[in-house]
This record gives sequence, C-alpha cells and structure tokens, in this order.
Amino acid sequence: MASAAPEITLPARRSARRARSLAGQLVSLLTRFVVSLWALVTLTFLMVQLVPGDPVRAALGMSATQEDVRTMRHQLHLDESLVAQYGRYLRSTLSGDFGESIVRRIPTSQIIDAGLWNTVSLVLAAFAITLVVAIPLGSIGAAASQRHRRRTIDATFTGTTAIGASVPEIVLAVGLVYVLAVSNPWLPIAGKSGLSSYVIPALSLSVAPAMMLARVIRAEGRSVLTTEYIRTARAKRLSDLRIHGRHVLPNVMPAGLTVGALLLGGMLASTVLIETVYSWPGLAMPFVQAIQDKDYPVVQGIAMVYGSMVLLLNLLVDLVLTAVDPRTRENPR
Amino acid sequence: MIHRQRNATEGRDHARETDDTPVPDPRSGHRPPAPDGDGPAGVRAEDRLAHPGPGRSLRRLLQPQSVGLLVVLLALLLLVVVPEHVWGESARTPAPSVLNQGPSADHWLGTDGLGRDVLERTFVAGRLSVSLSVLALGLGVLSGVVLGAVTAATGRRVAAVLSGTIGVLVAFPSLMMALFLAVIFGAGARGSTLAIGFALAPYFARVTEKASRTALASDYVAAARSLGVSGPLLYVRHVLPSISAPVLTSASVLSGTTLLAFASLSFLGLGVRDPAIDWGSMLKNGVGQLYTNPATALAPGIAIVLVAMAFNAVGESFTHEHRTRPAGKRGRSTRPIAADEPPRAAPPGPHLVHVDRLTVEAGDLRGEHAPVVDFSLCLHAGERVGLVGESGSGKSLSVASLIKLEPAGTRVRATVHEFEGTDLRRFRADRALRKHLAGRISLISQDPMSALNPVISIGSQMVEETVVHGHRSRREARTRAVEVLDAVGIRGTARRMQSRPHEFSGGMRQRVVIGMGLMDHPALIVADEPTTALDSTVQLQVLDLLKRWTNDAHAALILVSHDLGVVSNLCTRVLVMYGGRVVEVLKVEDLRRAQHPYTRALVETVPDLDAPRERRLSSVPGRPPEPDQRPHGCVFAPRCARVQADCTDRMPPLEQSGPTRVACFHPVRDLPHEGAAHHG
Repeated sequence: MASAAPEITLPARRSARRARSLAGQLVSLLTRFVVSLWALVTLTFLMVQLVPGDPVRAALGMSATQEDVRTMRHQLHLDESLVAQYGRYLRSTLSGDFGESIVRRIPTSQIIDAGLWNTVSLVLAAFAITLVVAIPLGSIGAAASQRHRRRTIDATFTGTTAIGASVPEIVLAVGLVYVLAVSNPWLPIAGKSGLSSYVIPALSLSVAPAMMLARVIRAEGRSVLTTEYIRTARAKRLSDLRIHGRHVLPNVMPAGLTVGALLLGGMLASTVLIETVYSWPGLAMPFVQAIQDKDYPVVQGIAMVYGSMVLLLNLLVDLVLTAVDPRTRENPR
Repeated sequence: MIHRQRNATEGRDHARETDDTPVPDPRSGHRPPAPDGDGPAGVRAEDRLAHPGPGRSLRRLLQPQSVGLLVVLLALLLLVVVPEHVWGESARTPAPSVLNQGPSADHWLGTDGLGRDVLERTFVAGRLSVSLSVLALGLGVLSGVVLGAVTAATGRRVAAVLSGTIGVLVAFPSLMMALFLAVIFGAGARGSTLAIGFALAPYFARVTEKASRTALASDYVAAARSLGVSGPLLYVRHVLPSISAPVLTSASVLSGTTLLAFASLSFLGLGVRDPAIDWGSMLKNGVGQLYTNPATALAPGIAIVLVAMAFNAVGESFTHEHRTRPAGKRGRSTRPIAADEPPRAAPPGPHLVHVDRLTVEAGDLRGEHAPVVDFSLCLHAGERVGLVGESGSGKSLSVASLIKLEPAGTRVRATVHEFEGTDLRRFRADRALRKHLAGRISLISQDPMSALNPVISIGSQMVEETVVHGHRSRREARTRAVEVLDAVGIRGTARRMQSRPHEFSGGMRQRVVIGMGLMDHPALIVADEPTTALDSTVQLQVLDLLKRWTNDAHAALILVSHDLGVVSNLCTRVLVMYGGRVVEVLKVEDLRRAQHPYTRALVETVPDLDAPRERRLSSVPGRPPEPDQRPHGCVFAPRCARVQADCTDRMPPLEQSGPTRVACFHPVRDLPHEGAAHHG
C-alpha cells in the first residue's frame, strides 16, 4: 500500500485549549446555578414582602387580637429592618431552616420531608414512562416519514401525538378517575399505597409530555436523516435498525435531552394538579393549602424546594450536554 | 409549562435547515424571534434594508383561510357575551328539587349538587375562562414588552442585571411561576389574573429583548439613524414594528396555555371562586360528583379541551409558514421511455456496471420531466469516468440511483441495472440487496465536514461496515483500519482511532472517508464532488490520493463534478449531463473536440485543462431548467446559440458522431483547438 501522502498533524495546543474551555464551561455553568439559587432565595423573600397590606394580619384573620399580631410579627422577625430580615432569611435558609408553619405550628422542613420523596418519585416514574414511550415512538415516526408507502403511518403519528400532546393533565386525570374508578378493582386511584398506586398518577402526568417528546424526536430524527453521515451509513449498506439505533438516535439525544428536561420541569409543576386530583401525599397539597392559608414560611420553603429542583435539573442537563455532545464543546472551523 | 414544551417542539420542526444552522435554544421557550427576516448574515442587502414589519401578519389575516380564523374568534366572542345574558341568572340559582340529576330532556347534561343545569353553567363559565385568560395574556404581553424594551434600551450594566433576571425567571415553568405569584396577589379572580399575567411576562420580555436588539443592530435602523431619526421616533417607527411580529406570534402560541393555567389555578381553588364560575372551578366541584352525575366534571373538561384547541388553532394560523409548493403540473403527457430509440445491444465484454435507460421519477415529475431520464452507462473494472454538468443537471441523483442509494420518495426504473453481472432489480428484499452490495461500493460524498457521524469515534466508523457484514472480526478490522488510515496519510492512527470527527480538519476527514471506503477493497468508488468543500491545496492532495488508490486497488471510479478540470485530471471518459439527460459521452482527450454546444461551452470556461480550479461554469448564459419546466424538444435549446426550428420538436437521441456520442441535431463539427487536445 502506497503511503507517500503528506503528513498532517494537529497543532498540539488544540487539546489543551479544549481542556481549558471545558473547565471554563463547567465554572460558568456552576456560577449560573449558584446565582440562580441566590435569585430564587431572594425572590421567595421578596414574595412575602410584596404581599399587599400586612401579611400577618392577613394570615391570622380579622379576629386576631392586636397582641397576637404583634407576637407573630416578632416571631417572624417582620418587625426588624428589611436588611436585617434579609440577612436572617439568607442565613437560616442556608442552614436548612425554613421556619415554622404559622397554622400548623410545626417546622416547615418537617412538612417538606414528608412530601418531597413522594413528589420526586412520582415525577421520576412519569419521566421514565415518557422516555420509554417517546424514544421508540419518535424514532418509528421519523423512519416512517421517510417512506412514501408509509404515509398512513406518518399521518396517524402526527395526528395522534398532536391530540395526545394537547390534552391538559387535569382533564385527563379527571377523565381517568371517571373511567377507572368504577370498573377497575386493581389499580388504586387515590392516595399512595405501594407501587401499583403510582400507575395512574404517573400515566396522567406522562401522556402529554410523551407525545411532545415523541414529536421532537421525530422532527429531529427527520433532519438527522437528511445529513451526509446518514448517507454514508446507507452506503455501508447497514440495516434500518442499525441506522436508526446507532447513527440517528445518538444525534437526536442532545435535542431530546434538552426538551426532555424542559418537559421534566413542566411535569414537576403539573404534579401540583395531579397530586390534588389523586390525593397524592406529596408537596402539592400542603403547598396549595399554605397559599390559601397565607402560611408564608411553608409557602416560601416549598417554593424554594420546587424552584431549586428546576434549577438543579437545568444544571444536570447542561452538564450532560457538555459531556455528551462534542459540538457544544468546541466548534472547529 | 405547556407552552414552553409546545414551542420547543415547533422550533425544532423548523430548526436545522442545514447542519451549520445553530439550533435555536429550546429553553428560551420561543421560536427564534422575527421569523419575517430580521437579517442574519447572508441575507441580501435589499432584504435587510426592507422593514420586517407586521405587514405580513396583516396580509395573512386577509387570506381565505383566515375566514375560518374569524369564525373561531367570533364564536369565542359570542361565548363570552351571550350565555351570561341568557342563562346567567338560572345557572347561579340553586334548585333544591332537582339535585344531582342525570341527563334528561329538561337538563341535557343533568344538574349539579345544588340542582343547577350543568350545560347552562358550562356555557356561562366560558365567559370568565375566556375573558380572564385574554386579560391575563394582554397583561403578560404588556408588562413583558415594557420590561424587554427597557432591557434592550438601557446601558450595559443595568441590561445585564435585567437580562440575567429574565433568564432565571424563564427557567421556571409558567404554572409554577403563577403559583408563586398567587401568594403575592392572593386567591380569587383578580389575584389569579395578575399572577398568570406576570408569570407570562418573562417570556415576552425575552422575545422583545431579542427582537429589539436585532432591530437596533440592523441596517435599516442604522440607515434611519444616519438620516437623523433618533429617540422615541426611532423606536416607534423602526423598532416597534419588528417587535410586534414575534410578540404576536408568541402571544398566540401562549393563548392556549394561558387558558389551561387559569383552569389549573381555579381547579386548585386559587382562581375563580363561588359564586362566580369558570371551567376550572366547575371541574374542581365536579370531581366530587363523578359518581352521581359525571357530566358535572366532564362537561367543563371537554370545554377546556375544545377552547384550548380553538386558541391553539388561532395561534397556529399566526405562526404557520405557508410553504409554497413547487408549481408542479399534474397529469402531463408521459411519453413511454425512449420509444423512438431501438434497444441498443449491450456492448461486449464483462462490465462492472451496466445500466441502461435508468429513469428516476419523483412525485409528479415523471416522463420527460423526471429528474433523470434515460441514463445509460457501461463501466469496466478499474475504469475512471467523470460525470459533469451544472448543479441541477441530475448527476448526483443518477449515480445515487445507480448504486441503489436513491433518496426516499423517488422511483427508479431501468431496462438493465447490473453490478458485477448481477441484476440489481431482482432483489425483492432490502436485506439481500444490502448483503450483496456490502463492501463492494464505497461512497465519498461532497461535504467531508458532515460525512462522518459526529458522535461516533473514527475507529468505530471505520470498522463498522466490514464488521457488521461479517467480513472481518472486530480485531482484524481494527488492524486493517490502522493500516488504511496510515496509508491515506493520517499519522498517529492508534490514537486517532479514538478521536471524534470534530477533532479533524476538513482535509483529514475526507481522507478518513476515503480510507473508510477502502476497508473492504471495493470494486467501485463513487466520489460525489469530493473536493468542492475543500481548500485548493487540500483538493490536490485528495485527488492525488483518489487517483493512486483507484490505481492500486484496481477499483473503478465514478467522479461526479461540475469541474471539468478535476475530471480531466482523473478520468478517461466523461459523461456530460444537462437537464436530467446525458447529452454527450466522450473521451477526455476529445474534450476540445466536443460536439455538443453545451459541452463546448463548458470546456471553454476552463482555460487550462491541466489545472483543476474551483470555479462555477458560468459562461453559458442562463440556468438549467427545473425538471417541471423543461422545454419541449431539446432541453438545451433555450440556452443554445445554434438552436434551429427542429430542435424544439423532439429531444435528439444520443448517437455516435465522429469521436463522441452526442445528443444534438446540429453538433459542432469544427476543430478550433486542435493543438490543445492533449491530456490525460
């Protein structure tokens, strides 16, 4: 074999530059996360300050005596200066102290502890369903859109996912209660009692996101299918399964992941509705109750938990994207 | 939350026209602003100077399909106004005599726990659901636009803080934001309207900020500034119009979400409360009555879905891009392929490739208007053939179909279609065809930057074909890959095998692609514009490599190019294509004696045949016709200087004429460059 072709070597600087840019990216991601967390804490602090009128009076109602209000103001440190309050709030939040419920007279952290895992596990279960449904469905959708004779499949896919994606969670949840409450003896539809009780709430939570994610994977897959490297793969005479599994799917993942995280954030917010419909013992019912009761320490604590989960999620996705997709790291000429 | 997801979905649908187009960040939650063309780089100057104002939205409103839109809007308006006046009183008045009744003639959907008619209540509830959603949306747009415009207009530091804050807020799902804000504004109709409105504000602020930054940096604002327009007038006249399009688009897309957010808050007991009703609060009360009268919960649920769909339809009619389909004419007369030509006897001898009258049809394009008509080629083992013609002449499609890699949606027919003596048409199953061709044909495509899968290591891509088809074990394949990479001039191959394509330059990637095609000793190499995307020095190296390898491996080569210089450097024979047909077949040394006026024109654009040059063939005035606009008769006639009356009668057949085979009734027979005809 002839091998007289001129040698081409890469400049040695390149890998060093990449390493630095990777570290730089990590630092900027973490910085953004910390700043966002700080913003979240500050916003929850301002939330109570912005309540029109006297929040303590609002919380205790008109029947409370002046003495009660004064005591409560003192307990909540609302009689101190704004700066002092803010400093105290930051310190106690950082040490994990979210104050005490005005109404229930128990620490907020106790309320959070009771519901947090139920909410998180519900969201994770729903997200798992979303992935398991959306990835194969979207891939099949993309593959079908390539073939003329599979036009019916394509139309069915587009129609079904469009409808599925636009059914609101509350309506779906209420509908499921109606359909399943009478006829099915084996799947619990209220409360949490073992694994089977996850099925219905997680399903209601995951239908719309799964359809949306499937659409994203299909759209992205279609654009990947038009690329040169897929033509290269076809020239290697690979099977459809291998082309889609090995060559298309990994290139769809960055977009899928980004949208998936977005959906996961949305699903977290939707748990508030789903948990209410199915009486799920998560964070939703104490949160909504606290908003109605104007139980501000609880509201602040749970809001911070919800908010920081969203921020953590975004950070995770950014980290994974940076690690997985070489193109986000560096874009050579 | 939902709108962000849906937006992201739609954004992706339009994203990535080409590989290099940056994918809009779906997290921004919006389509890239200003779809009406606030000029990114590369847009023609007159486009950039033109106002991207709301004119197009207005024009869309006047289109026929907008009638449906107006009907939907009118129906929503009626829903807000009429039922309250007709049933408002009775829908709120308890009727103890008819508690919890099922559907009947008097009450089509039965009654609720206080004996009120469910159907009436559902209609009446539409008033608050729709109007408060619209109100909240308006509030969100207004506050968002103000916030975004202030951010875009203020000094750098303030803008950075505001922009950062907007960025943090946009990260939260809107339902979550609305819940947080409900704490401040309190429960109830007013509080929830304010909460949802301000929850939406960050999105509109983001859109506005982006759009006004684009506008402020644009050429037309610079032009206006140079004409002395400044201050508020500049904003009102020039910036505002370009904000309005993306903001309107976002608002219409978010309208359905707003409705759902409202229903959600009311469902949680934080929105509309007794005695006022909206669908969310009806749903909340109905859940308890699912067992007595399910309609109390199902009716408002269905109403929410229907109106959300109506909102989305309104939104989509704003965002939908009307893609004009090419003006393909259906049912054109389709002539039987080459009925006027007698079947040619196959040239004698063993052929590596033998195709006769290969025709590629796509959609409505068939017969004379097929993208490729009557492509014929016989290729001996080891022979190098060039395929030239302007872009759009059908060269790439012919070759792709020839090696059974035709794109989806095309139909290929041929009277003969053989590779290595096997009729490729006899394969019914894809699998058998793939097995047969595996490793025999390698494809080197135009753009080396995108020909390799970005997420798979070079080594895995090199060995994939031979391993998957069972020609070599993984270990043998890796040894072979190192050998091949070394031979195509990539040093440090053991390490390079682990690299991803983005670590390689364009020239190196093309070497990898060439090497990848050589793994299994192919009989045919198809190179589709292999050097077009490369620097000229790298071009020479790559061509040299191709030439040497085809020689050493005794592989045949089909080189697709618009560059006669490249072709004459590498090939022995040339097929010239125009308008989907082969118009001339000749030896490279006969190029100066080409007889087809088109070939002649092509040759004259290359002053020195020995020097490959990167240059479009531009000296022939005009462009090749699109398949559906081909003229009757000779396809080249409209651009031909020698055109005569009979040229427009029918397409001239490809016939032997002197040293070449040419499809022309009036071939060029003079020999002006006799002395220069010496190449190889």
